[in-house]
Amino acid sequence: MMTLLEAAAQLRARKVSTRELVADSLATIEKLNPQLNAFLTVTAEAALQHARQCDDELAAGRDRGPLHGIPVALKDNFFTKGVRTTGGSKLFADHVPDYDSAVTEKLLEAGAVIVGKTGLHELAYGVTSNNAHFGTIRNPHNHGRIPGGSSGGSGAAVQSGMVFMAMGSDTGGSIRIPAAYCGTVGLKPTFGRVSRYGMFPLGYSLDHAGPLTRTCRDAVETLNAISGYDSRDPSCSTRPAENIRLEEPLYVKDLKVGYSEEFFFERIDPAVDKAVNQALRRIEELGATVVRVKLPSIPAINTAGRVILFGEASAWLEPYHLNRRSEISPEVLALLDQGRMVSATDYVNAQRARRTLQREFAQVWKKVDVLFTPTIPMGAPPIGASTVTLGGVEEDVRAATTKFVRPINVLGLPALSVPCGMTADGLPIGLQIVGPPFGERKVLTAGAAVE
Amino acid sequence: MVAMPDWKTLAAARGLQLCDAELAKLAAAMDALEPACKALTANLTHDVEPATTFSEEAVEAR
Repeated sequence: MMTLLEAAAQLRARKVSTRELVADSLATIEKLNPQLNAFLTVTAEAALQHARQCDDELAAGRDRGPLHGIPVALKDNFFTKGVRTTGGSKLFADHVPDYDSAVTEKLLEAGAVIVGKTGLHELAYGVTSNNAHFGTIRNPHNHGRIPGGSSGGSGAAVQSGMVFMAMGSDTGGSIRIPAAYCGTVGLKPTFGRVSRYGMFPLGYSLDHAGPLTRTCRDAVETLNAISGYDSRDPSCSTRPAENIRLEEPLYVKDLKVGYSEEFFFERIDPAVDKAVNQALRRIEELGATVVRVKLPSIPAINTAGRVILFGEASAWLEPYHLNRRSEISPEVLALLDQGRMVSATDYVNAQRARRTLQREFAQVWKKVDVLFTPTIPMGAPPIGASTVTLGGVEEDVRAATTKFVRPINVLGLPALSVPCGMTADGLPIGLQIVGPPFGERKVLTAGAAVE
Repeated sequence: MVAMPDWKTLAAARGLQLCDAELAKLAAAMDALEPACKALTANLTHDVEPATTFSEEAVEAR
């Protein structure tokens, strides 16, 4: 399957046109979407019209960069002017924004061709993408398994070849989870690196936007296109956007890679354990130094994250939660109910604990450049499963799926999920690579070295 | 030992009209969260401010 950068090279070599790439993308969606349900909305006519403009520009010598003429998709919580944006919720089933999100704007400026909007877990508040209102999204590797969530449609769309890149959002793992379960790359940038203007929120201080792609280099190009300061997002960093370039060949000899056996290697599928250890050995063989590190309490960080998310999600959804309960699934209602029970004191104390934990975690970056962990302890669970058994212990699917990824949202650090093997059932395994604040280049370099 | 609030009364006070099964599920979830929440904040000192950010500059620039 061609990568984004390979398609970009073929466009410039005149071996293929944007019109052909977009037509292929639309044909693949038409063929596979009835089974996968990855797309909620397909904007075929607008995409074909935009493709013609892209071809004309290239022919006239106007090249907008690597994304020029590339078919892409947006998770259906990024606002698109004149195109329905549902947030995966019945509450917003007929919501047509009159403006574009910052990410939509930036992708269009970069010449990307948006072919449609991908499905998601209801309100991006869950990990299965088993959506009560818009149907079940299926894992391309095994249609009986979940694709993960909440950006499940984006994971399924990229993995099945419908698009070269699809945008996701990540509040407690929602980019890295579908990337790991579907077998794609998923990048959650540093908090504030990419503007969230024009996105449905979930947790204001936890939400991130980032791409799902087939390779780390494709993620680099997408990040370069979408990052940068935006005054319309109060949490957006004023730090100048960095144009990341990975060295060719990759140089990892100075890289110190950390891992922690506590928590991240407890109660995981043996195949996941083996695959992540192989990735550690691989990067060591390439010249990196691998170091065992001690981390602050990850369960404590997860608790802070849960309390913060409960409070923030229930705050913005309050009018819908209280007045339109029948339009929200029981699963999401239960989470909103819990959020309503969290006191202001608990919320503020969780944010205070977050600061302490951030300071403690900052010490890790004095010893290593990046951390390797499993993204998720197991392969994708069957659709409808509410529990999984890990190390003889039954765990809730949501808790098991998020326990290694949620803490990174609380810390606001950049994190990548890269495919690193398969389970005994033939399901993809994800390697999570975490870096220091604004350390995307290090994270993506390590990812490109082991992918 | 963490003293548990009366979740059912609290739910009603917060405007949640739930059936018994929903209340039981909610109370169980909150019972599990409460001790973890309290343990989290046990060692916080007065000088630790919340990690949420607010910048007047950012507001003015919008």
